Amino acid sequence: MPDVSTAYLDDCLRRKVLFFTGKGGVGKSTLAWATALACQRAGARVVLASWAAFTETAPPEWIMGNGVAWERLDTLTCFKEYVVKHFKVEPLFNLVFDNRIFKSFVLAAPGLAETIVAGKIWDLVNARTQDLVIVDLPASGHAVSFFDSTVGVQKIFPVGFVHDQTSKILELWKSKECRIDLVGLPEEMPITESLELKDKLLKVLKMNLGFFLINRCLPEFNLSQPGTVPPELELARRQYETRRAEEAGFLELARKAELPLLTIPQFAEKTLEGLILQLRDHLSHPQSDTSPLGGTR
Amino acid sequence: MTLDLEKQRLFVVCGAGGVGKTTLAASLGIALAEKGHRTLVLTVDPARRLAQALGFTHFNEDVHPIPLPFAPHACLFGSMLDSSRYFDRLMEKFAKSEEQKQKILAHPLYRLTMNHLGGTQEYAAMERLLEFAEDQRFDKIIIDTPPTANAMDLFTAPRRMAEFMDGQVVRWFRGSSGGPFSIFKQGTKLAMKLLQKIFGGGFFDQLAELLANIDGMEAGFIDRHQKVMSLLSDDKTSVFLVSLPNETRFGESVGFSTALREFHISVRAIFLNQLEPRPQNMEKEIARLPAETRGEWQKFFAHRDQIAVANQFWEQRFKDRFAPLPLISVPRQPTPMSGLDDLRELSKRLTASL
Repeated sequence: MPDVSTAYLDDCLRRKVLFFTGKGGVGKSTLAWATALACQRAGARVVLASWAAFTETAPPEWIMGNGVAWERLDTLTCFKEYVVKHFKVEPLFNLVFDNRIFKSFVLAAPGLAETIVAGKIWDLVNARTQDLVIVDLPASGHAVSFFDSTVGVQKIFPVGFVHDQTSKILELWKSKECRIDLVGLPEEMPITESLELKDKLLKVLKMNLGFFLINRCLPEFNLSQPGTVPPELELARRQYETRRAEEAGFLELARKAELPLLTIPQFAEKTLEGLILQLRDHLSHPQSDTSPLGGTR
Repeated sequence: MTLDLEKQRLFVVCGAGGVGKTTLAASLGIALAEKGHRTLVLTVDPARRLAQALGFTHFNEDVHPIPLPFAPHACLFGSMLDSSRYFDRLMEKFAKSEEQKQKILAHPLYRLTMNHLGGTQEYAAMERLLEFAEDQRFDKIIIDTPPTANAMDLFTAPRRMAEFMDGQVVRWFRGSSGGPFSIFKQGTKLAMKLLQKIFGGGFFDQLAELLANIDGMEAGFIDRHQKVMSLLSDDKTSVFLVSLPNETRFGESVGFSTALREFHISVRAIFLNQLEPRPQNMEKEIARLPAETRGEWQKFFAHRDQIAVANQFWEQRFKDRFAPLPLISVPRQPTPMSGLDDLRELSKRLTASL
């Protein structure tokens, strides 16, 4: 078992940077936002970061209104900041940055954009203006290349400035201050993809994988009943139990990740805001590693 | 607006991850095959049970017949997308010589470049679209696409590749690795000095070398990009969007169709999947239970009903926003899909509402 506390919120509050990744459509962003709100409510100064190249949607305005900061990581802007900070060349900048070829280089050079964004996250973590940086990473494949790129860039530069910068970043990723959570659903594809993702991530870098969050699980209802039940109810019960049994199978599969599982129930909220607040409250409760058949829900 | 499946030949099924694209693509395939068309379904990464139902026993790109026990004369074929080593295969295809191919594949920056370009599945899917569009063995082709929240990531994959290989950038790097660069504007010179200061010359030399090796191949990708775009805007092609009745997917779908319109591609129909049906008259049934057990059943149905109400709310938003486009609502299946019969049930529902 990895080194994580089974209490989700407590563990989050002990870290400096949290990454969320998993298959597309499983609710990574929503869970990242809800976690940010939970941590903020517990007294932490939190900044949410998402990489502009991959995240279509910004967190809803009201989250920032609640005191959570947001950084949109745009590659060119991050690069400009980085160069200004380390090379003191500001007067030249507008000329350089308006250059079309320069832009296409920064965006297209292999591994560069990822490394720049990683560097910006490192800066955020070390800025000490907040306690926790929560990063909403892109879906599986892109998440692997996010970490892989920094490793690759470090190898291409065996010595010198860039090498030192990337080493510093990789050190943080490998440290206990950093945690990466996988997000899935109790369905076949999201679980198998997360299991593969876990192996790929660990192959790239010995990172601290935290929780395996299983989103949108059917809530538990005890419908067992002595005696006979009207046929309509019997049908509904059978369908519910079939789905629960199927989910239990996928949760069992998820155990192969050997990470603490955190099952999150499906909430019947109409709006995204309602859903995020429900998730925030759910994640704020002391959580324990759950049994595949239910446990803490 | 109605949709005439008879007039269309190519069906491109798009949508975010987990919305049920593959299941819908397969059901549509069954519907068309049952109508007597020789139909091919191209899938990406189907779930195991669906793959089994469609008879995909080996993971490869072979086109194989899918026998339909309920329609013995129907001609349905299936094929899976294999995106592994995809860029390598493309490089092999476009390389002008064995030497060029070897140089590219062995280059230290090559792997990193391919990772960076990302979305191997997107390139692969578009490539297959082009390949089969010409294939006269099939009357109807349904292509399931890799999950993309951003439509253009999918359709512009070949263009991104071409842009990366853009001749101007390549020439710049050739200049940077020693050649004269007086042809460049002042801004470019400054930019390059700065980059060299940051990265040192070694990186530049390596990148220049890789780009020089792929020089000349961009024409192939530009050509492909244009072909993909003209296929997608063709009258005989239908782009279907699959989505779910919630706020996040609604916003995404609006963005998706808007982005497509900019490229003169229109979504022909929207499939709204997994709508929870409202439980009907359950109160009456619950009243027949012993009083002490009613509470849990009430909670159970209240939860289902809340989900159903929320789904209906977003279904209405979809209708309002996308009218007069056909919007096909598909109720959530009470039990998991388990075989061809389930797919056929869904296909009947689809044809009835189209």
